[in-house]
Amino acid sequence: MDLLLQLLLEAILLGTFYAFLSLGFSLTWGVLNILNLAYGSLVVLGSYLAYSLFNAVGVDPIVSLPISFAVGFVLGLLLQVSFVNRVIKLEPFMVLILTFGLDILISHTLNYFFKADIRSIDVPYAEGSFIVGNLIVSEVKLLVFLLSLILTALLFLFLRFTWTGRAIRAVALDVEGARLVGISPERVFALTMGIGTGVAFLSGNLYGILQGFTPFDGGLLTVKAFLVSVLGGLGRVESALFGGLLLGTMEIFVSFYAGESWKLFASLVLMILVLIFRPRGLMGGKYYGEA
Amino acid sequence: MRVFLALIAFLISLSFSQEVLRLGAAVSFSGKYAKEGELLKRGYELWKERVNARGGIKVGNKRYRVEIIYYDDQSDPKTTAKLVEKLITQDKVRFILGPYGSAQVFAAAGVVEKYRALMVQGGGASSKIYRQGYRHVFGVFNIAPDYGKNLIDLAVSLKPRPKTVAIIYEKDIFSEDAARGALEEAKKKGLKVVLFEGYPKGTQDLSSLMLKIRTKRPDVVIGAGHFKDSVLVIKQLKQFRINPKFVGLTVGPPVPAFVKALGKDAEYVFGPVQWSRAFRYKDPLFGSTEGYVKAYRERYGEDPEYHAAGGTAAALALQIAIERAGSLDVEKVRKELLSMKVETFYGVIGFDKTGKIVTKPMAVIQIQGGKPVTVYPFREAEPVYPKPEWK
Repeated sequence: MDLLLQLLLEAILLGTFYAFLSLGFSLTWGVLNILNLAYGSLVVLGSYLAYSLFNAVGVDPIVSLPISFAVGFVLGLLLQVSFVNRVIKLEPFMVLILTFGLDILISHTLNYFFKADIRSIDVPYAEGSFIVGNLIVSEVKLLVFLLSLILTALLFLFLRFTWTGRAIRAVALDVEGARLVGISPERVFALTMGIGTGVAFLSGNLYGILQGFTPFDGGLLTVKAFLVSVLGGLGRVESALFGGLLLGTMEIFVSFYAGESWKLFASLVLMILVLIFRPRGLMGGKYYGEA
Repeated sequence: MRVFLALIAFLISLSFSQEVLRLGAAVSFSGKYAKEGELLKRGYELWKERVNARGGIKVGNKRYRVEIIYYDDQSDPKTTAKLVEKLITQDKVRFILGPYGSAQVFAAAGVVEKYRALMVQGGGASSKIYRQGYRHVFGVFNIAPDYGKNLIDLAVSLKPRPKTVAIIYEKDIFSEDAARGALEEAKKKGLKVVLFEGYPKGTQDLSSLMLKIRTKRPDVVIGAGHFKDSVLVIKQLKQFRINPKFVGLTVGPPVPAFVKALGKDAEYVFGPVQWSRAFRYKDPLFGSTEGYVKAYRERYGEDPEYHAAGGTAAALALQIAIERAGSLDVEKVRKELLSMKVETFYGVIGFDKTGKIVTKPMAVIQIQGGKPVTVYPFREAEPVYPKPEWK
């Protein structure tokens, strides 16, 4: 029983992080209708930014969160304006190829500057653990969990209650309709890409605190973001939370009972099943627009 | 006229200058094995400098100055193979000094064999390297299963005798071999194996394995992986408050960076070593093990550990074979390697017909007071056991 509770705890801690990680991915997917294959590499870029700030300038990785978001936001805007906008009206394939190329470019640039060594951001105040009843809680996981939860809530509130958030949802629902009421889809696209990339950088920052990373972790992270989006459905922030927890639970239980090596396999099988039987995800509405 | 004189002068200077023997090595300077790769290179460099200071390698009546061409294989075996091929075909190197890592050595061995070059390596300990029937590959490392075996041998010699053991390993050829060595020895010595499980390469979170270990409460925990894994294992054992009596890691503890990375948490962890400065042997190039340690300390400002020593020993074995053969012919040098049995700072070097070293012991160290001290089979200090709980 204790063991089951412990596993569930681990699943919740990890799943919430996955949920936040996938938000940027599912947002750009839902609103711009593009699959950003470079997403994972953007996350890793965020990890290296936090790593560099921590090691070169001494900025605490929690303090660097706003910086991560700002840098990611600007980068996302630039990417959208200078690249994605140019190809988004062409075949969907073009965006895939563009982001695929971007993924390779980012990971190899990181490899050039940082080498393939495993890096980690070691915050001395969160290395230990504490005991609650018979459960053991790792401080660093709890920290990342809480930060993920707060950031997810912030994004939720932003989309729900601000005019900009409403504009984003409106564009997701119906581009033409949004245009009719005076919203510029191009600007919303750029904004969404900015927020999406900002979220990627934020989750990269958290990822760096959570575990070691290398320049080539991006591919796997993109897969995770994709899985969460597909499992939960592209509907709402809540769906991402649901998908994240599902993926987290799956990973924890499979790696405990079947072995670490089966983790990815099991996730992919689950994804295929969902795609076959519930192609809109287990909880998906239609994009971010539906309340 | 001037040009002509300059040319003559140049030619004369050429005829007086020594000939050069070029060796080649593809070693990891980046990636997972960058740390070990750098140490290996230090071992090669120390040997090279010492040999050149002495006048170079003596082949018959000629003396050759040694040069080593290095390439960075980025810890990727496929790259190693490509680079070794480049060394042999483009740089025309006939004698290869090995890379670091079993998979890298294995990849290099295939290429070396194909081109009938000759490789002596001090970087790969997988027994698989010697099961291919290769004739041109020699290694100075005890093979991987010995790593696990020695840890278990030490554990069962301690009082109170441990009863249960958990073995976790990274899924690569070296670590799997080492883990199997531990598994077999544990069974043979009557320990109960409560967990034997691998995890994929590059895993950066071992939480689920830790939870398993936590529920099984083993007396002994053996971790087989490389440097980064070892650091991770210790961090997470502590994080999950798992307190076995004996923690042994196949790679990591002897390297100074291990203590640097873990600080106090590195205390009392055991690790097998190919070589220890506690060895007491005579050596043809450095005088003795002590002499080697002194030379290394002077050059690099820290004590050598086995990665560097393995590199030096591999190069030294090659040098002795070449000098004995009196020739740079691969076949003749190979014959000398097969028949040699020579005492060096590293132990007695002699190979069986598969090319692996069979004449040298292996030691186990324990971190005590931030330093690795040899506790088995030579005792620099008494082993601390059972291990105190994490603080």
